[in-house]
Amino acid sequence: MELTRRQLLKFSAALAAASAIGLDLPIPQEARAAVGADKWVKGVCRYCGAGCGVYVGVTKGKVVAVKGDKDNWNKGYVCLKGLLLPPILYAPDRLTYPMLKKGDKFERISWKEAMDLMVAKFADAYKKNPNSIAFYGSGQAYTEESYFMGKLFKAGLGSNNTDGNPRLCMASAAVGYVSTFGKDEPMGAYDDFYHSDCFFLIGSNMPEAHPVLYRILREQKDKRKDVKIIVADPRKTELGRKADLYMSFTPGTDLAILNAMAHVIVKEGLYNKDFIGKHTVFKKVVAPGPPPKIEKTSWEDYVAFIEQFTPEMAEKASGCPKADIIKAARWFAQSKATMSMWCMGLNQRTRGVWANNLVHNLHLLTGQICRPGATPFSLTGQPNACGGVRDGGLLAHLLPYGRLVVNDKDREDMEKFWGVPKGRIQAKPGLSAVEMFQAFGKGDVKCLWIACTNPGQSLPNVGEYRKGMAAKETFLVVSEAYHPSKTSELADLILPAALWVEKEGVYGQSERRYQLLEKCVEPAGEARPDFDVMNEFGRKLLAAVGRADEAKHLIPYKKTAEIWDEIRQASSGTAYDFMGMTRDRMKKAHGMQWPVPTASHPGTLRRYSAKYGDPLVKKFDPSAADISFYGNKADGNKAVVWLRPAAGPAEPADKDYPFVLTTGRQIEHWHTATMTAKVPELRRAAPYGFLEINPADAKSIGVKNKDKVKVSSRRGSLVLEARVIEVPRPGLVYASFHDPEKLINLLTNDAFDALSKQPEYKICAVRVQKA
Amino acid sequence: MNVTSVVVEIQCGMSGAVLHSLALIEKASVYGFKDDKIVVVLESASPDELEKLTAELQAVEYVTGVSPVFSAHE
Repeated sequence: MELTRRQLLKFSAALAAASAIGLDLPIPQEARAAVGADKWVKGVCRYCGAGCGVYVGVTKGKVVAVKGDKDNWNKGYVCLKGLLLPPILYAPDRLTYPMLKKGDKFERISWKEAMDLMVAKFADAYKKNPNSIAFYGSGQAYTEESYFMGKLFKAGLGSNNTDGNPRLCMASAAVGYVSTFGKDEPMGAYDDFYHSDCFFLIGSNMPEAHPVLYRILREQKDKRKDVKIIVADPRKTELGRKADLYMSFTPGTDLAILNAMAHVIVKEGLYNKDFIGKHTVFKKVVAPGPPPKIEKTSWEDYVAFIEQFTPEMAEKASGCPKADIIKAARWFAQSKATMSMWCMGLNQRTRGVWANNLVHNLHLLTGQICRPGATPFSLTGQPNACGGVRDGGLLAHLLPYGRLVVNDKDREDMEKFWGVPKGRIQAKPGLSAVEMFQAFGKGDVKCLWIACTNPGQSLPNVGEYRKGMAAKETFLVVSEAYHPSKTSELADLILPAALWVEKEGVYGQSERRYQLLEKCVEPAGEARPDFDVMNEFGRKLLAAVGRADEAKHLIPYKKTAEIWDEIRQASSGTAYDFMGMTRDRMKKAHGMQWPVPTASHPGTLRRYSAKYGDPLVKKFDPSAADISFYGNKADGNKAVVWLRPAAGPAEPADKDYPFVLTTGRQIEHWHTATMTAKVPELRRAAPYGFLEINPADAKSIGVKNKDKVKVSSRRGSLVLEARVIEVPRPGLVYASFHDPEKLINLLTNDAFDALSKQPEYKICAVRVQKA
Repeated sequence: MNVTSVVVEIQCGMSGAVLHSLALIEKASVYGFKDDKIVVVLESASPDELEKLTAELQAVEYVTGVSPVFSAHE
């Protein structure tokens, strides 16, 4: 098929618009791929945790186009942001050489000068106090990079001060999985979309945050008349408008609703007695601690506990009509297969872990789990939050592949595996994200390296932490692809980083699917892959602190493929088990879902069920007939139903700050917009941040659409344009967090969940006035 | 020549009427629709013409919004 230039442009334009609304256009495949490219290289989208497979078009050493991979789970679909990825590599503000702050200005220096300075600063601080250095990584870094930095710090330096931005988005989901099922990560898969007839979505704005997944959801709803969608969200977004049952509630009261749904399930006998008996235990906290004192309890105790959470009580607490709660509980329990999905609305909370546990409870009570279409499933925000920082063990309390620093055997196993002396790995968890920046502000951490993330914009209560990052007494290194960003502008030393397909590595996304991204083009200017920089830094730092000999065996790598082989070995024998995911297989495959224990194993669609193909059930629990939550060996391979009371937010609205502010994504942008703001189409479509406000609230404070409003919390204030719209419920206002010129995180609350250490971005009290 | 795609949002259930009206607008091509959203591609010789076309779309009965998505120049 031959296309004129005009036709091609029209097809491209139509395709972009169609992708934005989840429409499958009857445009010929030739037209989709007709953008001139010398070669197409298999890869993964750079943005959200959905992990869409893509092909990257390269012409004359330059990325010129992106198209969806029709053989991957996304069946060739990508969202508008994914289609428009190429310009992010060629933005005029790409950082192309190292820069050092001298006085108030940055000056170009060589890589040798940068590395020498960095090593000297970190070595000096380390010699005085091993815990005075820290690394803050990212759910966008490659798996090899995150694993490497965890190894360097925990084994090479004996410091657990490594954490990353997944602490800000996924920690509550991770601790929720671990506390209920014994191990992190979902048991289900995107394939469950095709088998579920009841979708329960809570705290998710899927159409904007995960548009390709939303496309599948809508497709299933359109094709199958029996599909029901329940949406619980204080904002009535596109998702809520399309739901069969929309449940609106006062922000922070959803724990009462989830417990009330369990109440209805118990009272109406909708529970699965056989499943509960075979596969669950019950637990409660008897003393809050820290650490909390936990006791096993019984079904009878749970029934007595749940008695108080009547639909009437939940309606009073949440504002959600009791009839909706009862209907949701019945649909959840009585469908053929129920799939729950949630995102930051549950996770970014001071009771995020509890909220996660309560969703899992509903699945365990009803047996809506471990079969096609029936699963709890957390949606991930970043392309490698799961693969690198969670699974790879970068977080301050973790060791690779489900191991914990507080566990004696796990530490010994990893010390042996890494070949470092017994006792090298500290038993005390290091500093989590917010704690790390608090310590940096106080000067307890002297040297901090931030890679592949933008905490100068993304931390909650960011004004406080920006002061610490700008302090002269400490040393801040930032690896970034762009300069200035809201973080690089605060750095002492900036290192230019290769971006996306300028380097090679592995991403692991929401459904345990690991995918290899091959290098397609050379990095911009002198930019280097973070892994190369980490490798050199690690060797030189260990030498500088007197461990040159250890460095030889700890850091023997010449390329990332070698570290991937070590990762496979580190996962072997664990509940993860990547042994069969060889680099060669990954080059050919369109992603593989772990566990993959052997080179001939195809990967595992669903975990914890032998019947549905989990190869590890028989390994860890040989007597299991089918389902085994083998991550929870201490509880007899059973999952935990938790007795969790309802608890509100750290900072509810009050008479001085009568509104609740919540933050989130909008479809045109991603995270701090360092990448999406480089794309003209996206920047034009959504050029600045705004404040959504309900029409009733707007009227009560005399604000009209597009008026400037001043929104203030106890931590800061900001002037934004009002968008008066029937999306947030009365009493709630919403702003996206993308705009670097309108830092909404000046206002958000840095109080965090005691269990997951994840901050409560989603709820803080604010005042709104006409500016 | 500028090529711009827009998503035209319409009142629920009014796609038939709106599609009929859009077909009468020269330089506007309808590529498909889903629910209450229609994908339209506009061809314009100048920014002024693009603005005029967008206003024309906005004026169609039952249209509630016009959102630009993609723009390219030939």
